[in-house]
Amino acid sequence: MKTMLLAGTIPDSSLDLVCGTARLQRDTLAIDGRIFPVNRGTAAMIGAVCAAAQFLGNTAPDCVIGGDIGTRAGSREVYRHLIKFLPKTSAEVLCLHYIIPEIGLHNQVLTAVRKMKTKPVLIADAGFMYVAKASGQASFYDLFLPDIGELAFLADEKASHPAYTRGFLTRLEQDPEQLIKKAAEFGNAAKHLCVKGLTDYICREGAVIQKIHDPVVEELEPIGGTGDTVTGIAAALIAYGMEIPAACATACRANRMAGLLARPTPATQINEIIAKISLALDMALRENQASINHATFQGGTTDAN
Amino acid sequence: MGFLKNFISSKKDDQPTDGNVEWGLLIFDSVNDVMQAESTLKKVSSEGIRVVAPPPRYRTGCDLAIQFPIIERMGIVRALENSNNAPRDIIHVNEELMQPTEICSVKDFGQYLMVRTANMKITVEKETKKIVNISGGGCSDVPYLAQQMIGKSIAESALPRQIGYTLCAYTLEIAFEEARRRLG
Repeated sequence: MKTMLLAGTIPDSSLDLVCGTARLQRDTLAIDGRIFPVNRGTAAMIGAVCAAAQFLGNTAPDCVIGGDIGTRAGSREVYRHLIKFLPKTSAEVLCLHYIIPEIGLHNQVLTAVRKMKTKPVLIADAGFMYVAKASGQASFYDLFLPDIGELAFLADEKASHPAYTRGFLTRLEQDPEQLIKKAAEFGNAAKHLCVKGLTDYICREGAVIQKIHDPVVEELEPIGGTGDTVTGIAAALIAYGMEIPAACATACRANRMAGLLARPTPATQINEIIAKISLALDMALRENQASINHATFQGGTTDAN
Repeated sequence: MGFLKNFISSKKDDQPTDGNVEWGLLIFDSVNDVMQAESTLKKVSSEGIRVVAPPPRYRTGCDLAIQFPIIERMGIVRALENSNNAPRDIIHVNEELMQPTEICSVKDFGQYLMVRTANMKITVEKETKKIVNISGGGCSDVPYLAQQMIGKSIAESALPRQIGYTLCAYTLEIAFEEARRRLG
């Protein structure tokens, strides 16, 4: 079992940097004596990690949280904390999330990671993924988790933010495999990609190694936080010891199942889905096991989808 | 699901720079300052004002600048100074700069309509016109924008450009305007 460090921001401009172990208490997160609602963004990602970690028997994750409503203040506190303390920490899975992209500070964070005794499994999503790509150092990361719009951004060698993704790439969203190839070709992808969409694509070094189609729950797309929960579950499974592709595939399926169990509408809020993660993860892991048993019985290899 | 329909619309895409005009670029300290400046300048003169990505030497990862015909420099600077939002720097540009996307895709969920621009999505209940969800994005004002806008009607909600600070807010504004245009 690997130790985890999760970093990101929460929309509270009065919040000083919070560091501590996170615990999920119904609809809220408790970190270092502070209580945060689990609504979306980094709070949803941490909520999903906690729910999955509880089910798996992992230790609870450590977190670094800045209060930021977009003014950069809290994001900068998170960057500076990571720059200062990462060389002294022994986190084995580092998950970097909602933050304002600042290339200079990002590069200093990577320098700090290089000073760690052992390089952690490096996961970036949301703003940290944007700045990782914009800095030209995407290949240093082990896993990015873009949605389809963010994948088009990774495939655009000129764009410094998803807002600048050029039209011809946006139109290629119907063909994610081409975008995945382009992102890898330009060196703008992490070693692994988990592309979240109607079909989820699990990729290694630019090649699609698995697709997840089921169960189909279209109502998940408009719900804020459903991408964050995939990231959280995947990170918890990687900390549990799963290989990155298997962790991503299991997380995608568990997230879809959690969605299905919550019987969502486009107005559903993410806390209702987080509440179903342990049951959904149990179902997804049983499916994995059944698939392995089936493959063993057949004497063949397994397609985990 | 059969009732789901997708539409794609674009107001502009890869608009070319007019080769006969000399351009200047207004550099600000934050995306929020750019959004406010754009509103100010569009009231004074909308001719030739474009928001663009600044050149690489000014980029930090979440940036926006304003391109303008250099001949209008004096009037533009005066208008911005009068609104207490003077630029940090003004430079000449002769390279083509990237513009934020305005491509919107719309997904109809029956009772709800979702509009997406790049990485940002907004979902509105058709009957009540209430914003029921905001998703996507990666900058730290996205959860804040969701907190402020969900539950409000699209007629009453603050505009993302008024309360947001980043390119994600700028992008959400485009999706928000499209939702307003369709559901009024």
